[in-house]
Amino acid sequence: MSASEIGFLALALLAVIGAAGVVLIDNPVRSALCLVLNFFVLGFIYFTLGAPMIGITQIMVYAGAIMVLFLFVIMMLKRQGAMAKPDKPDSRLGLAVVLGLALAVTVYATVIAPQGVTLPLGIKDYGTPQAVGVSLFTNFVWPFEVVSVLLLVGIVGSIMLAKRRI
Amino acid sequence: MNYTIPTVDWSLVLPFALVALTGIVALIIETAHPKRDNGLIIGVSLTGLAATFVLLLTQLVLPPARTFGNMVLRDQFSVLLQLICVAATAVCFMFSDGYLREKKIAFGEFYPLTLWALSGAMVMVSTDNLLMLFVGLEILSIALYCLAGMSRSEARSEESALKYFLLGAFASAFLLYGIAFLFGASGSMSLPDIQKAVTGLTRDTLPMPVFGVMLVLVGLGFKASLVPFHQWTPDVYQGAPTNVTAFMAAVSKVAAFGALARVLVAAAPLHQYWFEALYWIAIATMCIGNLVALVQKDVKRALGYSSIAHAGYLLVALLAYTRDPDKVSLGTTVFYLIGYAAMTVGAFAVVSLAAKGDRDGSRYQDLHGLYRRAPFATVMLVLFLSSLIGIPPTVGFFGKQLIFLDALRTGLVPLAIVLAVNSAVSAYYYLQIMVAAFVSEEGAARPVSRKPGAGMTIGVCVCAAGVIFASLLGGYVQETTRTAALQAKPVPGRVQNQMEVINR
Amino acid sequence: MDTSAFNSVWWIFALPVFGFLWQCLAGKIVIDNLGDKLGKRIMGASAVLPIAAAFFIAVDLTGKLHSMPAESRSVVLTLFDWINIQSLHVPFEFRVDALSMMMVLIITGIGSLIHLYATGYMAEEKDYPRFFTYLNLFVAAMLVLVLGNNLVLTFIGWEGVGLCSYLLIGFWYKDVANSKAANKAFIVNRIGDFGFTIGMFLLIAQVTLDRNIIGITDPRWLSFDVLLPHADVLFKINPEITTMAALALFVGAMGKSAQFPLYLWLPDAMAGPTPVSALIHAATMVTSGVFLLNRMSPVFAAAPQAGAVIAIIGAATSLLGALIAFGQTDIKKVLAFSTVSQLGYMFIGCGVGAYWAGMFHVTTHAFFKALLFLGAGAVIHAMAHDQDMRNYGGLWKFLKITGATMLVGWAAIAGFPYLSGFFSKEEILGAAVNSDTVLHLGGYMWSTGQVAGWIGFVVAFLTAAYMTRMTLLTFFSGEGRWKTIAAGHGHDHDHEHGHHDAHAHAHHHEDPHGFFYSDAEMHARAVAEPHEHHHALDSHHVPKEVPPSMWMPLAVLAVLSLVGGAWLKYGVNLEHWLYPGAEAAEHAERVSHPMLLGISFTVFLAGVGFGFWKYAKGLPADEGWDLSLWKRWRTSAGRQFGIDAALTDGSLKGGAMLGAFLAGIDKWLIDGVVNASGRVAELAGGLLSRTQRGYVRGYALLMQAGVVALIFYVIYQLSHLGAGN
Repeated sequence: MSASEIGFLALALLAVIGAAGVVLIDNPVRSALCLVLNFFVLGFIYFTLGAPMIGITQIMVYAGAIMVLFLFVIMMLKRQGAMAKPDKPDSRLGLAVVLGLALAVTVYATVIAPQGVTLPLGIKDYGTPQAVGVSLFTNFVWPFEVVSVLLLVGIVGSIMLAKRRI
Repeated sequence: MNYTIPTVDWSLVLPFALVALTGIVALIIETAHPKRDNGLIIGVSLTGLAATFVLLLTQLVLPPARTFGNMVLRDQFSVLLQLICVAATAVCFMFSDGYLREKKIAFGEFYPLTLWALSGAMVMVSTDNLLMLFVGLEILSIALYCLAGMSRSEARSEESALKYFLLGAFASAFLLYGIAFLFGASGSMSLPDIQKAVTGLTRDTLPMPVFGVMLVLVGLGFKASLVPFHQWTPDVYQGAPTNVTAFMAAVSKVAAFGALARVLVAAAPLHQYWFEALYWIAIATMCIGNLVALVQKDVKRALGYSSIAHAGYLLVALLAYTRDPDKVSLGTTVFYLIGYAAMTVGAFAVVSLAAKGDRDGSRYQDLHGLYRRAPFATVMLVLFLSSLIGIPPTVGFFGKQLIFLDALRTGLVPLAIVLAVNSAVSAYYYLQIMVAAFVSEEGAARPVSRKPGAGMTIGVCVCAAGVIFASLLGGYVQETTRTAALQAKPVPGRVQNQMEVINR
Repeated sequence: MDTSAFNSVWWIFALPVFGFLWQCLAGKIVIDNLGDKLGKRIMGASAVLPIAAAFFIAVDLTGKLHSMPAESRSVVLTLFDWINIQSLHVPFEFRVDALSMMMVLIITGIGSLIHLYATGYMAEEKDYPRFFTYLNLFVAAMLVLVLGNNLVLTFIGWEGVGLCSYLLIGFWYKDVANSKAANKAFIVNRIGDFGFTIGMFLLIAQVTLDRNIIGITDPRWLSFDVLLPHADVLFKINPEITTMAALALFVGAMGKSAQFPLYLWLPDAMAGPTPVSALIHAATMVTSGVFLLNRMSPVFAAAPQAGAVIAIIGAATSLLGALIAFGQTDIKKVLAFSTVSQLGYMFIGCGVGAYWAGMFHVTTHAFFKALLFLGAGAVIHAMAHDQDMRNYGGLWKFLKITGATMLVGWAAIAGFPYLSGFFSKEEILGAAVNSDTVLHLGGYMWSTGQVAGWIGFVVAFLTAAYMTRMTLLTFFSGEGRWKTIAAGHGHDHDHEHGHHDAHAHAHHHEDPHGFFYSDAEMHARAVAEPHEHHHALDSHHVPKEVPPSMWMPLAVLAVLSLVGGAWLKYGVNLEHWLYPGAEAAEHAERVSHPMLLGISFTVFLAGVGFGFWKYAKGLPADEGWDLSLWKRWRTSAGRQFGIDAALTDGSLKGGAMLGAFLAGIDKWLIDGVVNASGRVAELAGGLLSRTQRGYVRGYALLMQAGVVALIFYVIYQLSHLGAGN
């Protein structure tokens, strides 16, 4: 096992811990902070995979801007500690866990294991800002434009849901 | 750095651009006159939709083409599906105003959001690239999440929006996971490339694309309400405002099946790994949809289950096509979608008349007395429900007949039988709805609700015309989709060849 | 072949159709506008003329046919393409050959005579045009039956005559008894028609199966001229199926031609007007079964077992009809059972393979039985519509012409040597006793042909006896017994046998149904036609000879009955005319010709002698009005030995029981299954909807389970199929 693989596994473990924390911790602030951890680690993983542009974007936009907004809203709502918990633990939670694990194990055993776990070789200039920029303005210009409609929908939709109390 | 700017044929994206821009114009009008009635917005929207419809009609005869680095594909299949979506949206707009007013949720934002949702659906059906497919799906879905929760005074509406959102996100995760697998296996998100890449894999490399296909099917199956990814359907159909339900039922189903058709065609080389699964899913979808609909007490919920059942019928048509593309045509699916859109939108339009005040009133007894209040619309409801049952002169009959024959031709006899039996079963709850509309109201406890407006009448007439006359298009649709070089045709997998050997 | 010379055959068919249309469309208008007398005369004439014209065309065509060489005497004329599906063409086509023209001559010839007779007989009828509408339609349908060149057309005619028979039996439909008789005829005929269709479809099935073996390429393979030449090979491929088909067709013939046990309807059919009885239920329609057997003779020839059955059933019918005739007091019923009996003869002939003899008897029987019916009608007419022979007697004094012609008819049917009935009967019985028709049943061979022949001689004796009885009781044996009606035994007659002719019935009482003229109308007519006055039969009744329109047909038929048989046998050489080339097949005679003659003479003399011995002195007391004096066997014969009641009640009660049983099955089993399936569906729906609790986590769990299931399925497929390609 090479050093880079060890590094990847360590980061991945951190990311999973962060994600699990988001779901499992009841306190919203702590939960949000776990999400920050997850986003950060994801950004690092992108770096190690040779995609610096995505990594930078991940840290700036998600771990930075979006998480600030999240925490802001959470603070504003003053609902810490008042998160509703189910009255009793749902008996089917175990089933869900088993199914999830089954899915993970299966995918690993069937898809990943036969091909061997390999990290991508760093392709030159694969994830640089220039390369991403060129991609966005050549082959991927249309999805890039169409996503603007998606954003518009998100904005207008949230305003419509929020603006009037009837 | 060397790069080339791809050449662009703007005509291919013009319908999408027209719809999206109409949405923006509508939003600007709403911003300029926030408290006015929505007459102008509706006028602009309908004009834009009409222009788009005409534009699409002129494109129907054009040869297939791609542009924007193969991100946009226009062929007869995509144009026909876009036509259905545009027409269905227009009808929804026609009857929305009166309904929204009655429920006092006449937000001007409804129209731009719906238009953008439509644009998402149009993106979905006019591409064979998984990335575009995902972007279109998300535009459609997110707009629908918002629209479903539009009636905020009703807890059920909010609940349905949240349910739809959570489950939709869950399904999107599977879809993305699948896309990632397919990308990993082929190095491309273009379906034709994937189709080429998946022929000739080894035992070790095969699982990845197969898993990918499966997971993509899960994501699209959610949108198309296939069992077991169907459970959101009745809740959301019931909770969402009826005009949104109508839009959702028609446009979202058309988009989902358009995308499903493309993916299944691309996945045809892996036929033997997924066919049987979808075969059983089709049976389960038809049966569960119809059986559970039998015990429903709510019209919109029953129609939600009916929508599940119809998804099953459509899946039969797709399966027949992928099994033997030489014998049957994808036109059957398109034709059924035309009919399905007309009859479903029409039915929901009439059911929306049952709304009184801020209550949606969609239980069976809320329909009582409808015939007294709106005789024309009620008679039309009978027509739409007859078509949903599949009674002969209507498009529902011809659609089911085509699917039935396709299934027989390709040797899917059990599916054909299940379809026929389910059609018979479904008559029960459709007839219940009809009966409810003709039972006279007991007492005068409920306030007399509004009379159907002109928009409603026109919309219902359009749907009725579709239900009655669409059957005339059957041959044309079959022929067009057959001759159009859609994309790489499905290459039947090995199982079929084995079966042929056995048959010999 | 140039068939244009035979195109006039369409006129034979078209003229009755025109007559039918004219009668039904214009009849009422003409009579209303031109007055009763003139209107009826015009309508009567326009009913008779088309049939008469058709007869003359038929004579002309027969002449043309006669001038052709014997082997090509069969012309097919096509009017239009009727059924046209890929491998089957059924055109609307007529076949002109010896057999069909013979039937056409009988239908139009005797038909026109009976039409003429009916113009007089029905003169007091209000619904005059309706009667001739039906009658003309009947002639048209009968012509389709005999002229049609395929089984489908024959079947159309078959159903058409059945319909007309129903309409005419129920002509006085306001009397429930008549309607019931009509219903009975129709329903019993349905049983036969069912057999006909089964037989037809069996034949069609055989042809479609084996067509390629034989090499029939003509899509008109249902047409007789294509099918029948191949019959001797085709129908021997599957002899069992051919036998079944032949028997099924014979069931059809049984229905129409009143063979045991489907003879039930014919006696009741006498409820119709007497000309109808003469035309339909004696001369033409009831012989269509015999015609069918002749037409399909190659099929029956390929099924000798069926022939054996036919012969024995014919013999049984003939014996039964003759025995029952002794118990009848109604003159028309006697003739009806006599018809049943004579039809049995015809089937004996067909059963033993002497098809031409069957047709011979059809023809002679048409002559003398029409004569007898019309004569009986004249007697009834003269006797104020009373039909009970016990009220007749000594009528010879009053009805000289009728009596003389009836005597000819009696002689002909009783087998008086060298009259028409004698020849045809002798041919049939001769063929039967010399036949080697055997039935293989239960491991034995039953010589049913010979048995049928000997039964036939017994029946010939009985026939002579009961016909003598009828003739003597009517015209001779003492003075008129109606003069004693006042003495007290007149009106209560026959109630239990239901022997009322509605016609008579209506005149005994007030006419409640409006079929006949009311008193005021009668008075108006009496002013116009003073001699036409009706009254009920009473002790002061004076019988009067019938008008010429009624006795002229009698005279013609009497001449035919006298010489027709001899002319057909020696003048025409009927066997050669109908079946050219068939005489070659001579077989050894067990009973020689002179012996047959001797037996026939003896039987005739014995029968007539018995009749004279018993009835010459007058009405014997043991068959008079007092039924308690009757011998048991005669009472029983009067009741048809209970066969009618047993079959009718049995089928009614059995049908009701079967219906109740099936209704029970329907209610408990079918409805139960249907309802249960609905319940099960609803239950399943209810259970399935339980899985939908409304919790998002539940929905997501199901989705996840679905995904895992799909993935496992994929893994199974991957390991199972391996990497394809």
